[in-house]
Amino acid sequence: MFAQIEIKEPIDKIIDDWDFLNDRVLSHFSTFRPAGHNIFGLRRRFISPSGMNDPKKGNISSFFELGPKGISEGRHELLGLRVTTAGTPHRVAHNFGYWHLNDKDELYVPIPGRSPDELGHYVVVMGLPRDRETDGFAWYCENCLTLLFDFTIETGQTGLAAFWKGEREAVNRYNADLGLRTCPECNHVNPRGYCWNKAKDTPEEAEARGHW
Amino acid sequence: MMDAPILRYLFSMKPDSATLGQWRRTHDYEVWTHCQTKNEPPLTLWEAHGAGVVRLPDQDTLMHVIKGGVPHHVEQLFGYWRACDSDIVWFRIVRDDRVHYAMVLGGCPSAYESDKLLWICPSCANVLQQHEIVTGRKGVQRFWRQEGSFIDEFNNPVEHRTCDKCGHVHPPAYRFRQLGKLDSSMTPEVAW
Repeated sequence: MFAQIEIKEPIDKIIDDWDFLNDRVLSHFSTFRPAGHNIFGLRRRFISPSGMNDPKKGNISSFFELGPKGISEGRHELLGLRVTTAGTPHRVAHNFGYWHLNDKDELYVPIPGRSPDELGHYVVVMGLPRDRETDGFAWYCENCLTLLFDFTIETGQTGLAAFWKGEREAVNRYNADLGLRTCPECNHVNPRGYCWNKAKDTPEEAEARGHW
Repeated sequence: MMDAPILRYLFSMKPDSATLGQWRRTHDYEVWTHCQTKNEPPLTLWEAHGAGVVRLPDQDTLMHVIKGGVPHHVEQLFGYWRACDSDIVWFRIVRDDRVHYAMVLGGCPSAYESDKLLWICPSCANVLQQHEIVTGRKGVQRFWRQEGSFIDEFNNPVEHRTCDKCGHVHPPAYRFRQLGKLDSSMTPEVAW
């Protein structure tokens, strides 16, 4: 219907990054990067009905959310857009070793490859923090869920780069103090935390990554 | 201790999903999903840029961000061009014999202040009609409430659909379709 007014130039010349799942574009979002109103993280992973396997981190199929009734464990559903609502502490086992809390909804889309041996795409979308909106890193006792330590940064003010610095600072502070990791309610000694980027794990953090 | 979370939002693109074809709201997002067979007419995304329009390829795997303010149209899905303040993420995923679609509108609710419906002459790209909906705190609900009245205004009389520059008569507009539901008035031939 619009053939007469269709622009004949190649689409790349009209719209930048028109397909975020194109390998050239995708590489820009291997961590997280803002684009317009949102932040995007794009990963290549093996995604099948039996779970999700990251080439570097292994099996990261399980995610957890923390609510008033305790911890809820979930598994990714292929081609399902799942939302962790703003303010809900959440984490992914063996992927990042803390509970992440933020003021924006996070939306996840696991897209399987076209065949079992083809890497799929794992898409993370969340709103760009603004004004006084924050990101937080927290640890709860794995035995009784008592809050042990939390560290909050105003990413709405500081920008996304501060997220990674804040993550590292939070993990370092938590790991350096055995008192923080020891539950004041039940005396359980909790495992260390670790950052999202596996390449920067210390030996102790790598051990913790394997544990939880 | 394991229990269900307070709020679990899961909007599947699979054919057995109960939320297919519906717009569902979370705190920051409006989400729509759809699934159809490969034999059905594709839902092709178009964007308007300058004095022309661009067709996004119907790839097997596509994730496109429609930037806030860019007029866009999806063939077979809604019979107008829409320019929304908010960014919209468009997914098209072909797996096995199914085509899965999703639209995710939002990310920054405070930036979503208005939405526009417009019609572009397919012959000369002249804008035939344009209506702005101030969405404000009501968000997209206000858009859906006013969508029909602007469509009616465009459709009748036919002069409203006739380009005053080139004389081309634009086909009638139609509302955002509930695909897969009974909709006898809307055959694929009518849905442009």
